[in-house]
Amino acid sequence: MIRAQWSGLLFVALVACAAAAPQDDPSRLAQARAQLRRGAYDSAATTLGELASSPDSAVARSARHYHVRALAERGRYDDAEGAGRRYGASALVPLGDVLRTRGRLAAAESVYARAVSARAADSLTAHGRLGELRLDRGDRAGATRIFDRFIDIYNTRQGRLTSAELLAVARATRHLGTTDPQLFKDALRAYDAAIAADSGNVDARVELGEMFLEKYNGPDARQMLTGVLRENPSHPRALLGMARALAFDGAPGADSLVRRALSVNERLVDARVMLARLRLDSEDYEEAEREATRALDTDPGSPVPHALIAASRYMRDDRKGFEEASRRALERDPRSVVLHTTLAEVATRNRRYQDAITFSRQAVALDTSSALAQGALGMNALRLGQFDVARAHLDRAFARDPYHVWIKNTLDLLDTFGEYRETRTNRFHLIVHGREAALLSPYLLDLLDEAYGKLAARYGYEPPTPIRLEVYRSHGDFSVRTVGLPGLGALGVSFGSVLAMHSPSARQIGEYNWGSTVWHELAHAFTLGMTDHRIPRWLSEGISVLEERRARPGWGADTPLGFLVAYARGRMPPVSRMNDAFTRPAFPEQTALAYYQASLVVEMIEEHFGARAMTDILKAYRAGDGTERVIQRTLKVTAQQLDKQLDAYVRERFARQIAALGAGADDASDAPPRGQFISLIAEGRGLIQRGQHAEAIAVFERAKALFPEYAEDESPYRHLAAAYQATGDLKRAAAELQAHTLLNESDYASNLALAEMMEQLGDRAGAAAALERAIWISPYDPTVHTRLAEHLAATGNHKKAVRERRAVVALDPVDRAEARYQLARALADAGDRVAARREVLMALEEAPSFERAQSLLLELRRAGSTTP
Amino acid sequence: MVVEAQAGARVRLLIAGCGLLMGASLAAQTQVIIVTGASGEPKYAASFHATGSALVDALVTKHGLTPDDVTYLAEDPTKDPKRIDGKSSKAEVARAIARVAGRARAGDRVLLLLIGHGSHAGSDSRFNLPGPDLTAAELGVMLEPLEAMQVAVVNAASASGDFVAALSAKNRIVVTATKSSYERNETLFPRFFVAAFTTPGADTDKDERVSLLEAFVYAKREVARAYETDTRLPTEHAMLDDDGDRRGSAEPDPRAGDGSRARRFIIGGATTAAAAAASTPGGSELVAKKTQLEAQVDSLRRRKETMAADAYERELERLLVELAQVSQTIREGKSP
Repeated sequence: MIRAQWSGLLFVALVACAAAAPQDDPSRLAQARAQLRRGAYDSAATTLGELASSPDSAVARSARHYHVRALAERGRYDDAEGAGRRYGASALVPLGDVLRTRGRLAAAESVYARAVSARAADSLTAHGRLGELRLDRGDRAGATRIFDRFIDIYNTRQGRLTSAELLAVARATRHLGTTDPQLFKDALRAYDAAIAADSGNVDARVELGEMFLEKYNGPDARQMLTGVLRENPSHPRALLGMARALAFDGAPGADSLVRRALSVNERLVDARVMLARLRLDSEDYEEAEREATRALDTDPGSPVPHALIAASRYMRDDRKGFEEASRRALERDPRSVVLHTTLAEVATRNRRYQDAITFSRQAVALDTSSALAQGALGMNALRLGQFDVARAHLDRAFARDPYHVWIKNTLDLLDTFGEYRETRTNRFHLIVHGREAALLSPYLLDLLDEAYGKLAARYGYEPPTPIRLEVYRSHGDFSVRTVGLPGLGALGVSFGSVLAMHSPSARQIGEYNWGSTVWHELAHAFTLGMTDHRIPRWLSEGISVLEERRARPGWGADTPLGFLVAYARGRMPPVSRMNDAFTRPAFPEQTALAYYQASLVVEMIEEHFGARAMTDILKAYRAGDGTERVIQRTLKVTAQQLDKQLDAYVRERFARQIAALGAGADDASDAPPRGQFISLIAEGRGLIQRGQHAEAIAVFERAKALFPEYAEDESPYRHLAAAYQATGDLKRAAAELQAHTLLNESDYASNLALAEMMEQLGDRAGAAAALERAIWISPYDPTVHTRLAEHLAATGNHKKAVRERRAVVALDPVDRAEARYQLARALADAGDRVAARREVLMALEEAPSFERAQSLLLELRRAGSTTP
Repeated sequence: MVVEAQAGARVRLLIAGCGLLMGASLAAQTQVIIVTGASGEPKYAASFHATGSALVDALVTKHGLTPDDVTYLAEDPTKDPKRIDGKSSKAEVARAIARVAGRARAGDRVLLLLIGHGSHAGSDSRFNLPGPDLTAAELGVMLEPLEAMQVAVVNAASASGDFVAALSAKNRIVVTATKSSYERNETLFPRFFVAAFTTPGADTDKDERVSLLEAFVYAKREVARAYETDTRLPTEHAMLDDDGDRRGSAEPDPRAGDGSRARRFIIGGATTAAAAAASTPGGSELVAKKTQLEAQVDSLRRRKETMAADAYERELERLLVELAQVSQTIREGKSP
């Protein structure tokens, strides 16, 4: 630390010496350019301005070029334009760029044309810009003619092109790549060459990062942009690129990166556009429009901000305003797909999948050659389970852009669908991988039927059927199916009547409950359907979590310690800003904690306003009202009043727990809590380690009383169970472990341990319940099914015993004959002798000398179940 | 009725008596050498010994072997002197094999099970022992005196795969926990291979005995299940070679290449009621009938793919019912 300070002081001293020494102009120019690269735009602009006004020389000409750029980087477009016009031929391309940024395309074109005809040093760049201007106006043929020439230039002058010229080639070939995807490779090569020719060519590095982002290649994009930001932490476009990458991953921080970009250039169109997108995601449509409008202050004709304004108005059902903004978005290029793909994207992100398909179709109709439009239509069709349509359009998109990782991954996944088995009932289409279908499907269908019946009764609504549930064996496949890229964190997804979730085999034991997940996702199908997909995400999640709790004791029940700490520290949003926690979380865990908070909101509303309040709220959303109006109309309170009610509700309900955690608003945000509850847990652990079980029991009982809803890693219940067991009090140990498993939905080991205790206590029903809970965490251990089947059979529940015996067979045990025999026995006990006979014959086919199976076969024959 | 019941009781007593005699007689034909190697860490020492000692116990208590039939060599014999017969040094392993070779007769079964770590240095695959390691080539030399016996070598260690090619021979079964010497992570295979003899589940043909093939299939399947449950990629792929072609099979099929010899290699040899019944009056005819029916079922199963499903099921049921009736008669000790 001290050494670092001394190094810093030394550096300052050296810089001061350097500043004090008289410098010649070339050195000052080099220094100013270095400042520009480091992000010291203002000091660079000052020096460059001084050098630019000196008599005409190579240094002055270069300084003029960079001076205009430095001013533009800070958003001082008027100053930049004035300077550019004063500098004449020395700064034509930067001047053209400023004019283009401000939407003055004709003026920009004239300036670029001058640069080309003057054969300026950057005439190749100017030439490329002329092509881009044609693209801006929708003249693709004209643009292509210009860009095509760059290939010849690259081939003939390859070794003699400067870094800036190579960048111009890269941009041109990248544009050509939209019609000939092989040229993306050439673009990549040209970007690499530009960077190799001048590692200080930041534009080339940023643009390459942006190209990776375009192809959803996040890792390479992040690597490239991180390198730029290491040298210039305030590079606006690099910051924006990183913000896009974070937003795509659902990671926190995008907002602050955009803000940093805007602190350098508050008029940066792309930054305002990004903010507008983020506001749309958090369903703050008015603010989204305000941000997009600010972008238009810089370039009034820019299609993307107009498209975002249209999207904002679409979300608010402002039909007239939507049409006006849509018209403006297409003014510059009537065949541009930007408007409709933006609308489709916003519709998708707000779960309006049917509208997303409509917008995507309109985009394809405008430009069938657009990979973006074809891809959007394909992905949206997939979300609604329209597989043939999806594949056709994804194939077309892939043909035009084979480097689009999202589309490639999705097509790869579609290729594996042959391995999945579909089970159909009147209500459900279940798609499960062939290796697991026989095991998982019976459980899923039973649970789905039960959930559908209960939810339909509660909400007085039945979502359209069949409901399709896809179950994925790998997290990667699930991510590709639901988002397009592997590596994202959700457990399940509901697109309405199309649901997707992880198979239990895709997750580690202890981190997932596939029963509560399927219930949760089906609840979304109800709330999305009931509101015509207009429900905000936070509320849909809140209802789904609460419905988990209602489904089974233990599901969705644990109160996260992290939630209470974050809430007490003021880190959780009020009801009126709940969506922020889902769309732009302030810290990494906030989204996970917000699920629980949202469920508390729903509970509170039901407690304070009656059981029907939630149904009324859902109906109001369907009518098209925004959250504030919905609350006002249905609950007769303002959003702010509801915020206060929630705060009072949480603080009253958890007053003892929050006090016991010792978390308060004045704490550092990430400091561990240090309250009495924490001390008691630590003390109890110590006592257990020293074998003082009786004393430990007293301590953990106190901890439990302080925070009885807590059942995470340091669950007092589990500690108590261990302590009671050590003292030989199996009954109390079992009671504690049972209480723990009725709060923690994914503790597999505790359920198995509890089942064993219950077995020792002779409580078959208790053992069966624990084993059933374990199976909803992981259904892959045949011995668990066998034990459960034995308990069920012994307690007369032969139907469920058959299900468990079928599960053992589905697990394809080594001893198949035994498994089939046991299934046959269970079927016979359940009265299904025909099926029993079939199974016992299969057992004997495996092992003809299997005595018990032989006896059963003869027994069944005597009972008359065999064929004559 | 009373007479019949008394006769039945007498027959069952005879069966039980024969069983004991046959069990003892068959057990004498199987010799087992268990070697747990250098552990490196206490947790491996504990794990190796738990696996080795579990098999020692099961062979004696469940599979009819006498303690003399089982030799258990371990890294530290002082840890469990009741079970462990000596240190698992290379010299002791050689002595144990030589001792078995001196006692066994032609046709007897000899199982050598290696539990521990393996390694690969240059062209040599090794099983790590306290002191000098045991190379596959050295083990091949040690096994030469057992040429007339049915020998099964199960190298359940990591990096064991190359032992297949090195030890493959006529009249010999070689099982390895991995497919090559490059699979070097700790193996789960030994735990499940031993479990095939200590827990129910491996006897898939329900003849009340566990063949080496059954144990291999059981272990392999349970290893795969364990990796799947832990959502890990498997780092071991067990192989079996018993046709002497120096190539192991991951999925041995007695009807096509590897597996045939391993299916007949029974550890110990608990008696079956049918075998005992053969010595009772009229019993041999029943046993012959039973054997004939079993052969017919086997033949039918082979023809399954070529038959109409209905015809196959009818014929299968007819044979299985008849077989069940014959078996029941044998069990009840009735005359044919």
